Amino acid sequence: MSIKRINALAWSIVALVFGAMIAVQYHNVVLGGAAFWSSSPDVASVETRLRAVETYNQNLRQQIEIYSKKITLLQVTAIARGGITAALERKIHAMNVLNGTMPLVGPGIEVIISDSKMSKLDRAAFLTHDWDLRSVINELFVAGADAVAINNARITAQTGVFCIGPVVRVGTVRLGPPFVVKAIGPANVLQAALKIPGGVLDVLKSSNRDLFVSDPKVMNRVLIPSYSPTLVAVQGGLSQ
Amino acid sequence: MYFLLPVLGLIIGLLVGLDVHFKVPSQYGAYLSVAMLAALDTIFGGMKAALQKKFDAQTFLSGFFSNTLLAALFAFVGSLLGVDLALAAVVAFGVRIFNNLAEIRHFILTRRKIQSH
Repeated sequence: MSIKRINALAWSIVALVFGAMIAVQYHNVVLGGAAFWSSSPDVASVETRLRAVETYNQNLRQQIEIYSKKITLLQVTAIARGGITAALERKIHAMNVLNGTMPLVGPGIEVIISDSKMSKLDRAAFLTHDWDLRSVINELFVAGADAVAINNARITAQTGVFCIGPVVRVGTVRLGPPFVVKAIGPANVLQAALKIPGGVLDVLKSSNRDLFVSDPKVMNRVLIPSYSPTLVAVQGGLSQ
Repeated sequence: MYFLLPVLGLIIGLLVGLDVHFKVPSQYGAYLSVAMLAALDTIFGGMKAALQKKFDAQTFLSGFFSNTLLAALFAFVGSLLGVDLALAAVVAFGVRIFNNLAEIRHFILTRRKIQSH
């Protein structure tokens, strides 16, 4: 190979790589909306800090779990001991179940609702919406469920179920399909309530939206966690 | 005809880069921009050397790749140590690029003058 050819080849390789670099960078900055370079090193340090805080929070949550287990143990012993404390503890227990602040295990049902596979045609029509889930959980509570959870997010009296774009906000968490609705209560009654001809599941199945709706499955052991609030900035009002 | 090959390479590189949709994570975006600046510096250095008839393909290629990688590496190490070496690289490479450009310009101007005399 002549020197000229080698030089041209070297220039070509460099031009090829440089062109690819420019294009990737252009994609990131203009089309990808990445931050201007000078502010980018901050992203790394902020991410490290975020991870540290998340680990710290995780440790705190584990501690909360240990303490709440201790509290439950004390309450159980108080109930076993009898007397006026036992009556009060029983009342607290019932309130906690009603409030959703206590994990529950028991017989119940499970039903899975998911988006249609045809969502490419007309997104909104074939997605699972907030009112679909609301109708199911309302039906379950009406039929006598003690506890209901969607994808392990406990439904309490104050839990709102709303659509945010393609995801559904349940309380403070955002959930995507498939939605696994679990309920603890009289399992056969719950199953029958959902399977009533013309009932909520029939409406979901027949509304020509091709949603995936599983048959409500009776289970001997359903575990529903307690309501766990995520850390959110609270504005207005006074907290004590 | 050989001068068309690098132009073709640049066009292919641009098309590949635009088509691949390779997304650099935002925290590494700064390293790519520093690497790009180092690449640009090497390219202008190569142009200068070519004008001065001192161009050597081996030096050019090795310089291109080692400069880009080392610049990105230095910026990365700097960010680990809390020293903004990306800024230092931008300043250093920026100065070198403008120096090279000035030398290329001077070279072209003086060559014209010599030819016109």
